[in-house]
Amino acid sequence: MENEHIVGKFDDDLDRIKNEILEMGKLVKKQLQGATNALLSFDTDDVDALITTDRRINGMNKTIFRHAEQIIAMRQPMALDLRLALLATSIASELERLGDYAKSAAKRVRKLTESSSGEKTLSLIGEMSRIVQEMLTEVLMAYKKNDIEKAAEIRVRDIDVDELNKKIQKTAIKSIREFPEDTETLVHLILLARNFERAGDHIVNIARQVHQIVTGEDLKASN
Amino acid sequence: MINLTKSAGLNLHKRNGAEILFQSVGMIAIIISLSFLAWLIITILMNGLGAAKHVEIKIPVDLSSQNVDPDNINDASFGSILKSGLRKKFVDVKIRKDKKKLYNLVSPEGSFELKREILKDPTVLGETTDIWFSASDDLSLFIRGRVDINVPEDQRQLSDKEVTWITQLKTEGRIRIKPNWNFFKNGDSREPEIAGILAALVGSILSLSVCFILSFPLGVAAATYLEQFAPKSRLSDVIEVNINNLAAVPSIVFGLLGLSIFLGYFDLPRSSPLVGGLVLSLMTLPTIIIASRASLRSVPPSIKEAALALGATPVQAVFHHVFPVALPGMLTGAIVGMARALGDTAPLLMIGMVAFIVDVPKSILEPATALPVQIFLWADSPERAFSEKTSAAIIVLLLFLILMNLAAVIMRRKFEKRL
Amino acid sequence: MSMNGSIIDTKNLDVFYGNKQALFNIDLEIEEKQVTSLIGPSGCGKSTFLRCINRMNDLIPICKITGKLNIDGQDVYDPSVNVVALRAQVGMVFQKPNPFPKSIRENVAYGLKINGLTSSKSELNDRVEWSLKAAGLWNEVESRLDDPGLGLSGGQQQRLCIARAIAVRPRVILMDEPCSALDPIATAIIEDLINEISQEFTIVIVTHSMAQAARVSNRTAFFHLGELIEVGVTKEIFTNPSNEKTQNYITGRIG
Repeated sequence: MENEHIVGKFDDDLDRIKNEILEMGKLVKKQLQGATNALLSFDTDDVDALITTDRRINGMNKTIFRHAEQIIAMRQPMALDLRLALLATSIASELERLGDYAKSAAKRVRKLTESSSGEKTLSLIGEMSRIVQEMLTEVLMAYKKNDIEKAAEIRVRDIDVDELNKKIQKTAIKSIREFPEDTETLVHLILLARNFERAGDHIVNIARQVHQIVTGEDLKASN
Repeated sequence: MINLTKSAGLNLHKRNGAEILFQSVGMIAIIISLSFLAWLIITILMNGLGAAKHVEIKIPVDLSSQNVDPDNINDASFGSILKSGLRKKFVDVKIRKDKKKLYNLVSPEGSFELKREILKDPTVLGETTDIWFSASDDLSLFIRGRVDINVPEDQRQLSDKEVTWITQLKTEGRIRIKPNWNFFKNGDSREPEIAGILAALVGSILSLSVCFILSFPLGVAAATYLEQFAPKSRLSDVIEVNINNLAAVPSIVFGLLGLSIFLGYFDLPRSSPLVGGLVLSLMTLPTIIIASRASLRSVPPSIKEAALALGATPVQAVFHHVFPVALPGMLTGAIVGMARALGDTAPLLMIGMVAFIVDVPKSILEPATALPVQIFLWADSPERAFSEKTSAAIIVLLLFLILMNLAAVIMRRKFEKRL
Repeated sequence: MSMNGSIIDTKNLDVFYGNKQALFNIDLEIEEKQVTSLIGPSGCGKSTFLRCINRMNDLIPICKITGKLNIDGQDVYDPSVNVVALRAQVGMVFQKPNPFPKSIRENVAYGLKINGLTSSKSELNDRVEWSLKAAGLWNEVESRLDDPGLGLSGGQQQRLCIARAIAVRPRVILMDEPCSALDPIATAIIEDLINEISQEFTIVIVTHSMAQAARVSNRTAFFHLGELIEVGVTKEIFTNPSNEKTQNYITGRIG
């Protein structure tokens, strides 16, 4: 699929956007990792830095949009190239949302207190985060290699994330009944789980967009 | 840092030198050619303009009834009347040889002129009247300063006696110079002083007309067919080569052709403008065909394509669109051909236009001569006055050429403007 | 997908210039009252194909054509076909504007006159006016119809050629890169004009500008090295073509 363009600079422009997305994805993954570590060890030291880094991610989203706009205006891309440019903005948006989830997860660390009832739930959340991070790595690889099979696998993995979310909700609600004094923490944990579940959905969106870039097909159910 | 001076290297010195050399050579070539041209024109003008003047001499003649019967003018003996008039003027002239010299003051045409005067105005009959006669060619040359009197008498045309008489007549105001309208009113003549170019001019015009009427339509049609309609094949290549060769054939060959076909086989009237025109058209046809083909080729094919794409037939496309654009070029080619035909003597000589033609031809079937032939004939004559006429005729020929070219330029402009 | 029905269809069309084959086995349908563009790199045969439709290739002696090319179901290469009649009903606009060296009025009237399509001078003038209006030129020239056609600007000349072509109300109008000699604004005016007249006329346009094909046509056919690679609705060809060669061409890729 990737024959070179006759005008070499066109290839350079497209490569630049690709690399910018990969960079942004890497940074988002780091954020997710950092937020999860802070959560599991109740460590608020790095939360501020994480919040600051989120601004960088927003900046990268803006840059990618601008570069995509330029490609469309200057190069009049058709077919595959047009999809690469247009969907780059969509993917960057999704990554930016992911960054927001990492930030809000980190912020919640400040509100948590250690408690035995929440310990099991927390470890489940850690599990969710691990899967989500793996999904992110996989989807970035699928994007880099234009691999629609890999993209399809991500949608399957998201099912695990959804399952874990349901499990966490059930467990937490049970714990609230048993240990009403830990309600606040447990509620935060429920919300955290939902964060990660949403994160998984966004990564599935990115996988769908990778598929659309390659085939032109939009897999999202419309009717 | 860019170097804009002469010292920039870049082979400038050598190349500039070559430029200057070439331009100098070109300049010199032009100057030499123009000098030759100027010398030619000045010589001809100087020699020919003399023919523009006509000298007349006034002699009293006795037209009383004993010499001229009013009821029977044609029977009078005009020659003797003129001669006696001269004798009466110069009563001292007694010797026969001197009398002959005396009579030589007036042109031999004088007697005919006297008759024409009387017929024109019979009221002059009955008494002695002064009448202007054309001077003889020797007198004419002398009056116009063409005779060198410092040369010993036996080496010049006019003897001392004649010079005396002439001087006397001059003082009496009996000699005048008039513009020589006869040159344009008369045909050829034995007497140079009254020889005119009209017969040759009309002959040339008639011949060229016949030539144009035949060769232009045929040539243009042939060129159009060859260029636009004929399929490109070996045969058409052969035709093209042959036409090119014909254009280079010496014109005398066409004269021989005319002699054997038009005069020999078809038995057309000899030395008529019809035959002259036919021969000239054979000669001009290749030139017109070649020029017309070149002109047709230069029309951009996009116009023809556009016409065909609209549903024009090939003939319509060519005649509505290609032809009008090519027409100015074709006309120019035709004029070039005509100019050659105007000045070409050899073929006309072969078909007999070398005869001595006095009367102006009134149709294309009457015997005629042409300008170049007339020039040839006059150039051949020994009388000095004819050399003036030759140059004068050359001037007329050149003027004719210039007029034809002017007509071509005007026609070309007119057609180009319409586009 | 033929919505209006096809007006031109070819079967096994092969074109040879001497020994060199320029078109290979072309099967193409042109829809009526639609704009169909023919795109492809230089030498791909799109102009050759166009000129087969009105048999302008007949003017090239070494050009040989086999196969069928039908207009309204009739093979234009049948020996009984009158070429003049064909060309009077299939109009052509050329790459370089080529108005006749005559007045504007005479240019538009020429086709009408030689084909005897009008019966009176007033009818002729009406048709001339209609054609010039349809070509979007009337307002600019109505006061100077007897001025020479060559005195107009490039874009105006091309519109004059279009007016000349539509005056005879042809079944099909063929356009061979009509805007390649014009500046962007003149080009846009003509593209707008094509949009207008395609309501009434079937147009086949050869263009080397893919952007123009994308802007102006309903259907696009992609030619490459004498073969018809892909044909389809323009929107789809330019967003998601089925053939890799098509995609390579329209995205400007090597191969």
